[in-house]
Amino acid sequence: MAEEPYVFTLKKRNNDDAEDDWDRYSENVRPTRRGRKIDALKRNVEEVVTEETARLKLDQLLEELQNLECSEESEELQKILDFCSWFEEKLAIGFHKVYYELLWKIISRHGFLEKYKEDERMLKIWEKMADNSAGHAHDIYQFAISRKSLVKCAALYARWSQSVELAGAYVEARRVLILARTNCAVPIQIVNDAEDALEMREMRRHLQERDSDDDEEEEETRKAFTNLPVIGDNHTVPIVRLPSMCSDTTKKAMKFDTGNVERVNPVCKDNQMQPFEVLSYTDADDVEYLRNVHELHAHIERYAIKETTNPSITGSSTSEAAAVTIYPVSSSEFEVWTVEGSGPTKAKARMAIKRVFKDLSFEEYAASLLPNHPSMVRATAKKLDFDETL
Amino acid sequence: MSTYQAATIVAAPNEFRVPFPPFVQISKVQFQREAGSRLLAASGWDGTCRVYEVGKLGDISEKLVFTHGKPLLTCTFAGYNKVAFGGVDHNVKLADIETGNGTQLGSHALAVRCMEFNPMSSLIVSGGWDSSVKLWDARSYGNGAIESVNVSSSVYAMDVLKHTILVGTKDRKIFMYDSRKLREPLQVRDSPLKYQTRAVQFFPTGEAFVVSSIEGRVAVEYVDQSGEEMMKRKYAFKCHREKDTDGTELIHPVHTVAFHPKYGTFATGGADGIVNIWDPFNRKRIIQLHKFETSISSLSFNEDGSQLAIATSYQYEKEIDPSPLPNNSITIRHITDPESRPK
Repeated sequence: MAEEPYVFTLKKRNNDDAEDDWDRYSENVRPTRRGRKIDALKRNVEEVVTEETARLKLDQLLEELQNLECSEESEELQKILDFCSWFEEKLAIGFHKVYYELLWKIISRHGFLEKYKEDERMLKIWEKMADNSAGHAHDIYQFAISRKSLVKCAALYARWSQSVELAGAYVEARRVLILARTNCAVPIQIVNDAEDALEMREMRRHLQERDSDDDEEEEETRKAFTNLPVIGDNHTVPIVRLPSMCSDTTKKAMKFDTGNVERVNPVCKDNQMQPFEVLSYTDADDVEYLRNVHELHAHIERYAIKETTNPSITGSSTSEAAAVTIYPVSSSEFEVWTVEGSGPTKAKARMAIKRVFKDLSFEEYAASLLPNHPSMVRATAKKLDFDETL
Repeated sequence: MSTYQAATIVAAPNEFRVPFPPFVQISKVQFQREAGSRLLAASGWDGTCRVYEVGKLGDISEKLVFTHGKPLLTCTFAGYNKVAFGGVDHNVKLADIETGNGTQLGSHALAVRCMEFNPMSSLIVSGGWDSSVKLWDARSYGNGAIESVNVSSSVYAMDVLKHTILVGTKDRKIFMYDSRKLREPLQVRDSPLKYQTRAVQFFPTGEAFVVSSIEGRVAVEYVDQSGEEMMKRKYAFKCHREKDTDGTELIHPVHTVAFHPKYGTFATGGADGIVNIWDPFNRKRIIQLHKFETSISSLSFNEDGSQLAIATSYQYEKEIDPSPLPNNSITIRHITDPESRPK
């Protein structure tokens, strides 16, 4: 009996793999910082999650929360956090802009920040916003403090200091911890541990820098743009977007209604100046800037953290850096903000010889001095050989 | 009752001056490398080549003086009883130490800058600013150069070990020749240092050589360049640098390099008046001698490595010449085993 020839069909084949074996393949699992729920790892072929789906889901959630009864207000923040978890599982890569926009929509709701300003679960909201703010984590945390959200939560300052330190502004990272003490953040042990860890990492960096000085080349070498060193402690390193981070091509502008936001006073009311400038409601331009950080040029961006010197703070590190001018460098492809100014430079090395010896050897130079060479003049004076002509 | 008197130990000096006129710029000093030899040759810019006999306890006597008439840039011993020298008048001359007679072997088109001797074949090797390297027979006169070859640029440094010739040129190239077949170089490579070459020296074993430059660096290169292992073993290090009052690092040229004949360590002399002895195997500095009055222009170990001739001579390298000009001198320093043996 001849074998039946193979015919291609669209029927589902009888595979040995069971449906529950999808999670056995590690390339299908995309890790996040806080892990994933096991239900999200199950395959749901029917569900297609897009940007519009996320927007619609949030709108439905916000509308649902508006209709909740007063007795269920404590569940509002938990549902928002559940939405954030859902978003991170479904749209993990390449949707930082959408995520940032949706988070701003959440915190811009009327009375939301005032209602949960002491709730520690808000720390997750601020962390998510800082992580997706295109390098503006420092400004996000400042915005949170200016809104009196988690003012006395020490974990916020620890997280804030860590993100500033990762950006390279070590002095600013110390000031964040000083602000934590000024605002009487609790528990104080978190601030102490964060400060000790910061100083330990700083010492380790100095030791590594000192060890690497011996192998340093005299002449400059070409370095990748992302490896450029910072100039002083007041500037962040360049932020280079990964291609996946720039895949969002939404052209819609972000506009929010801020008419119902109330004005608040600065954090400290003891007639004492802040160690650095705190964002307040009067800085409306800064708020708009924070909302639209993703509308800036997405290729390369760099900015200077605001410098404030306040000698009234005891123990604060005050650095008198020179005035730095920041100006854009025109380019056909992208706009690069560079820093111009004379910062603290290393001791230079110079050759202790005449410049002419770059081309001539010492013997050639001495030969060019003939017949006025000192040795020849004295030798001639000694010999007095009248028969020989020089 | 007898009384024992404690012995008084007085440190013996380990450094002696050679009688040399202090106003004459010194171009080269070299010990004779024959077994048991105690002769030292010194060439100066007054056109004289002086031969000294160096004893053990500082007994240094001037044996002979050859007057050339024009400044000399180099000199070398050619056998046990001859010395060769050349200078800015393009001539290569050979003189007999015992009889005092001199003869001219030939000439270069420009000044003779470097000269070394190959004892195995009794050949004098000279390099000049005319970009040529010439071979001369030290045993027969009047025949001119045996062989000649052109390199890419002026010869600035040269060394000879057995039949191998190492040439450093103005355009920072390193040529390696075999004196038995001079037509084609064995190797041509770029200098590992970025600035002008000042000296090249073979290791006594011949497996590597040292290159020094005006930028205060010394590089160790291996003759055999095949394989990744050899490329990893080569290295360069900074030396002869000092801090200025305002924190600026002053970089001095490394004028000369001299190898210890037994242990393979080498001494470097720089324009800062410092002599260092280095251990190239452990990449350490063994000792640093005291600061001399002016630049170190030439160094040479004797045949057993117990003495080091140090020529200090101002090279007119400073932006403003000091007034009065520093005295030039030749010093013989005894080098002990701990000062020259690798650890």
